[in-house]
Amino acid sequence: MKYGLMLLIYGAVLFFDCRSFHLTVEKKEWRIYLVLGLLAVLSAIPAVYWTHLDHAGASLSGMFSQFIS
Amino acid sequence: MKLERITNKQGCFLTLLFFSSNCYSLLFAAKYGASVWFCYLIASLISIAVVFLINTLMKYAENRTFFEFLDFLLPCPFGRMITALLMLYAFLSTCTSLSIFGQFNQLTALSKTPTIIIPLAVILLGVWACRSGIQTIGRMASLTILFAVAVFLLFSLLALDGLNPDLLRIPKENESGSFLRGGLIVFCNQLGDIILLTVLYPHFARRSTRGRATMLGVVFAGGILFIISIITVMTLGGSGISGDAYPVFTVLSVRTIGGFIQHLELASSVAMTLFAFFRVSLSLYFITQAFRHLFSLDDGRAPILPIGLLLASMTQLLYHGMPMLMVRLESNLSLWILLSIQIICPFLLFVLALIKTKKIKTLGCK
Repeated sequence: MKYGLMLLIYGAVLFFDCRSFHLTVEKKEWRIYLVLGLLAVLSAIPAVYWTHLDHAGASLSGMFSQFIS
Repeated sequence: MKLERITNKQGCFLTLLFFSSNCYSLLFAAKYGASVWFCYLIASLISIAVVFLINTLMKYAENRTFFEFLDFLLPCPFGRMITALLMLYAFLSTCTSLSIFGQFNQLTALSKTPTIIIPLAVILLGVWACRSGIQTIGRMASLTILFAVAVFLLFSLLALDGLNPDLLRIPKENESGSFLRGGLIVFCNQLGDIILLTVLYPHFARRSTRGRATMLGVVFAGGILFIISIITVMTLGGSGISGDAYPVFTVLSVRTIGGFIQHLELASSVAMTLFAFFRVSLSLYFITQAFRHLFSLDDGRAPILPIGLLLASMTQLLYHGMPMLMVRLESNLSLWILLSIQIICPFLLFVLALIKTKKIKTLGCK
């Protein structure tokens, strides 16, 4: 749950961000953006693993379920 | 890309807010107990000397940006290598600062929120501010400075009542070497990133007084940190400082105004969040400009967001526990690496600039 949520946050932020300007930037910059974006998404998994796991998962999923309800 | 301008006053405020990050959380070199104020005094003096050095260095840069100046000073691959090294340094330094901020927030105010959440929110705000340009960040600094001054006055004026000067300890002569190390620890972790502010220099509206504005910012920041350390010592004492994880926060948490306004520490948490925002924004701006120069990009603002997200992840990966963070802050190896980047690197660049300009002058005369 916590991994999925973090990937969702990172993915959504990058998706909405790149949608707004991907046609206007030069090709080289766009390629750099994609490589760094991929690295950022991949780094989210180990980062969540270390983010105080004992209660991070619980509080993240708790936050999410509270938000939904 | 059009060069944006900030007023010198905004530049001074930005410098002050940049160095104020983490000033209400961790008291660096706290193991020096009742003499920690002396370490802060040494750190402030070192920072004044370094900012003087960098101001003189940037005079030689004339209209060039810092990275163009590096290419001018060093032969082709070396200028780019130093740019890449400084970019990496800015990245890691921001990671450390964000880690202190994240762990402070989790332990003091938001105990159930995972450490990554608040730094991530600050980073996202910093990314959008950075994309809006340095002018936007400068205007925000002008607004925030009033709140920062109010919190500092709350911290210092309300303390006057209960201060105990007997708790201060003046270091003995034979201890000065040990306190120099303490001063260097404070300097490296709190006031050492002066080289990152070189990215602001081309944006100053009045070029002739930009050095004075930066110097004032550093002097005020050093003075504020020094006063905070003195008040903390005179309130908690040496043993209180060594035993408390966040002594400055503790000092504020015991204050009240006439028994009806309490929890003044919340104001410090808000101030810390704002300071972290400026710290992240300026560091990201430095990284972006370095990135733009390295890859010869026209604009270079697009990759700020993935870099920001990487920053959030790396903060967790590098310092996922307080002991790892303390090793980074207090170890000898870290101290030497930081000193070489924060003091030796600007000094060598200054010497190179001297030699280069002398050569050009001699060739011009011939």
